Amino acid sequence: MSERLISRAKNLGISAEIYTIRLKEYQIAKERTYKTIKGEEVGYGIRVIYDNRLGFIYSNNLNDTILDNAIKLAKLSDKDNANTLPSPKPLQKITGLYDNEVEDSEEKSKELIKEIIELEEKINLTFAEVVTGVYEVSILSTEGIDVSEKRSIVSIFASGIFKENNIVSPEIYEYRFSHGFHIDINELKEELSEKASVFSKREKIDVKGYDITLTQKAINNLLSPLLSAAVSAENLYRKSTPFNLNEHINENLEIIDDPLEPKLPFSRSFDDEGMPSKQNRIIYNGEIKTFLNNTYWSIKTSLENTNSASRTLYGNLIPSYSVLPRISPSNLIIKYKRTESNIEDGTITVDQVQGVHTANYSSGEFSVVASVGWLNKSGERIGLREIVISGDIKNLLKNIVASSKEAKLYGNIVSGKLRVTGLSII
Amino acid sequence: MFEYLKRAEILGATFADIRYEKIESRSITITEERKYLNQGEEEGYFIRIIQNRNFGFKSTNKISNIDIEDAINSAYGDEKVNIVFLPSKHDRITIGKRFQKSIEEEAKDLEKIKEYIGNLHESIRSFTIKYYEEKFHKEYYSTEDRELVSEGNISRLTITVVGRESNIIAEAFDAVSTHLGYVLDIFDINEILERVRKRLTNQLKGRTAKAGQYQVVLAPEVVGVFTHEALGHLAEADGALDGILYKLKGKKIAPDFVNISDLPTLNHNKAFGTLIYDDEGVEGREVKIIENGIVREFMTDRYYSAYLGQPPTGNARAQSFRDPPLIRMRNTYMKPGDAELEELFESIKEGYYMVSPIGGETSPDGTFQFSIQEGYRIENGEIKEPIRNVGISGYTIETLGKIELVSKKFDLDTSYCGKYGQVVPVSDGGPYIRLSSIKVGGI
Repeated sequence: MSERLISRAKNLGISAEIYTIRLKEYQIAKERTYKTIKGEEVGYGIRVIYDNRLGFIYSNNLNDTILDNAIKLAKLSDKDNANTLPSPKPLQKITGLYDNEVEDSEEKSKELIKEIIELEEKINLTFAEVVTGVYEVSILSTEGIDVSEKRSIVSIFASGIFKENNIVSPEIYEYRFSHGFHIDINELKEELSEKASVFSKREKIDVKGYDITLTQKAINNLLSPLLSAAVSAENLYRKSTPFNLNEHINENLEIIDDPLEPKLPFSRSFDDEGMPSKQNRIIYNGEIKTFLNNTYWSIKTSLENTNSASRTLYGNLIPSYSVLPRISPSNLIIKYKRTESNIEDGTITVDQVQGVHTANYSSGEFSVVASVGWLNKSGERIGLREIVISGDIKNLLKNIVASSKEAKLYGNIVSGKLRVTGLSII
Repeated sequence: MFEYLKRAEILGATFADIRYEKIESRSITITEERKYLNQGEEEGYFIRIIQNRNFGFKSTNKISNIDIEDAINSAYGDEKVNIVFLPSKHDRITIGKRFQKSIEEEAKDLEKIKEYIGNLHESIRSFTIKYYEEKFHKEYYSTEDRELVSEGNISRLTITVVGRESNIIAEAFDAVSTHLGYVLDIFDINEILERVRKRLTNQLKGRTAKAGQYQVVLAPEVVGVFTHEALGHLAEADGALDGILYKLKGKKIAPDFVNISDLPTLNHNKAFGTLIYDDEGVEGREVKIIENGIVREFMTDRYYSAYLGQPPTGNARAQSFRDPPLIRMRNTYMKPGDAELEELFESIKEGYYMVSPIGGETSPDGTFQFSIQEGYRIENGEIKEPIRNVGISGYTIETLGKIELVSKKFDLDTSYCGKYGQVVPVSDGGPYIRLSSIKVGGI
């Protein structure tokens, strides 16, 4: 049907693209009881450009009327020369994005859940979940794009609290993503129980003036979404970012968007418009060098298309057929030249923040609660309560002073822990 | 659908239910330079079975006996599942009011809003006007011989503007949603635009609050986010048992005049969480979370109703046919009190008046945090200059105990709530309240 619709669109003299997702998921979760869900879905997103006007329709079923309806919508849209579909470019397929083991993942997922549940001996485990998915992304267009790729994803999540008498710790969670089952479950369990143990004692102390050390989880929670918005070419064009091209940020800092490394969870051979993936240096030699772009915004901004079109909704792992391509980084590699061995000494470690969605994404300003944080004093970790951190993305990056030596993958970032000075903390 | 339920019973299920859902949606987006339109249609089934006291689930676009077998085969667990069973019932309902408006007419209405925004404030550099409309058709069937069909629609308008003056970038938004018809027939666009203008200009000229503990007045929008985020989530039975609220059941945690409930429906044009039957086919009822300052009961699904021995509340909701129902809020609000609005401000020497939040978040230990997009300083009982880039935070139980006054005046607000990756429409609100102290964070 896809080929027929594209052929019909060509005959009508319009540009059209069909984005298809075929998905098979398995999920096992344990809260107070177990839930196991098998899911199957096929969906299509049809983008039509008619006289430089855009129309978009999504559906679980492809039929002849869809194209006509998309054209009808396009006729009601504004004419805009940047409304074009990209032409194909040679791309090199990345291997390692699909693990056959994930196709039939029930038994393996059950084993993993059992292993996570062993944590109940140490902490009050509130939720454990293993989600596996195999999916195929296909893009076919009148401009000649004809690409498809099978990918697999495994996500493990666990959360728990320390609860004793009148003490209830904050809910601490850990998650890991991978294309296969190569996830160190023992490391996740140790992290969770070790952090919960910090909160067997919790104090309210004056925290003003301390440096902060952001763990990789906190970097993924706080810095990653703010940075993603701040380096979007759409936001540059619409004057909704605090950053400018070539602006000096921090001479020791380098940030790369890397969709090519197969081991990283958000890698792909092509972006969600079918353009070949490439590495992008966002911050290099301490300066903002690249704003991430897709076809539409690269025409608007007259900047390079970084092939960063994405249809993955925030917080999801698998792209959606029901949205138009936007701009989003893939995997973010954060490097800081100055490293320290005992980076957390004498600082407040922030491991989890809440309220990031309330930040001002145009200015990059935020005021968030560090729900999981502790003071590192004389080799001891003292759990803290009610810490509020305020600042903005630009000053956060400018005020990074050191990184831990070991880089680690967390969510879509690979980074060391980062020590930051000068943020408001109360 | 009953033939599939029968099939499940033949295969050994002691209970089975099937949800069917079809959603037809359209959206129109207009920015300072763009206008584009989307349309979508999705449909699918969610099958749930209980076998050997374990749950099994399957979601699919098209249903067949193979899907029933898949659900049966996926059943797994520790054989401890027990749910509340309900009597046979057949019903067909409509939520809100149907309306007929063509997409062409709607696009024209948005074009007019674009013209207004062009003249709203000289600092505006970019804006997004988004209209979203959804027509839903849901069916629920269970082996208890329940057949419940509901239909309705959602109409929602969101306006976001970004303004820039010298080095200050300010962002302001307002959103209204309703089940009662076309959103622009229900709400006054001039009032919406005026709120956006005020929030933007306040942020551009506002000062940052001085961090510390202050006496504050919270307006209904902020009280709504407090009742929803800081208290409501703690009162969802799945989180309550491991959180701080369950052990406080029957205990007094707030003054007598504090009453907070979650209701399936309300006679209000912003009762966006309206749900007559939930996604487990349960009739909704009022959940009195706090009555006269005392913790009374919790929101449940069928499983937690049985677990807690509490009558079912009808709070099980799923975002779509792909998702299992979770315990979610509907219309959650603090009930109004006796105080006149002026009384709340009178005795405040130095404090803040928080009018509109950007959003908030809470943790099971009762920590909450909200960011404020519209707020003012209070000095000697008078509302002074606006503040910007400010957040409030605290502990829910402590904060409830600090409520000093509750106004007669009341309002609701509409939003979407996220939990475990699922988003559902809700409303929240309350009166104006005065707190003796709360942590105000600024830079």
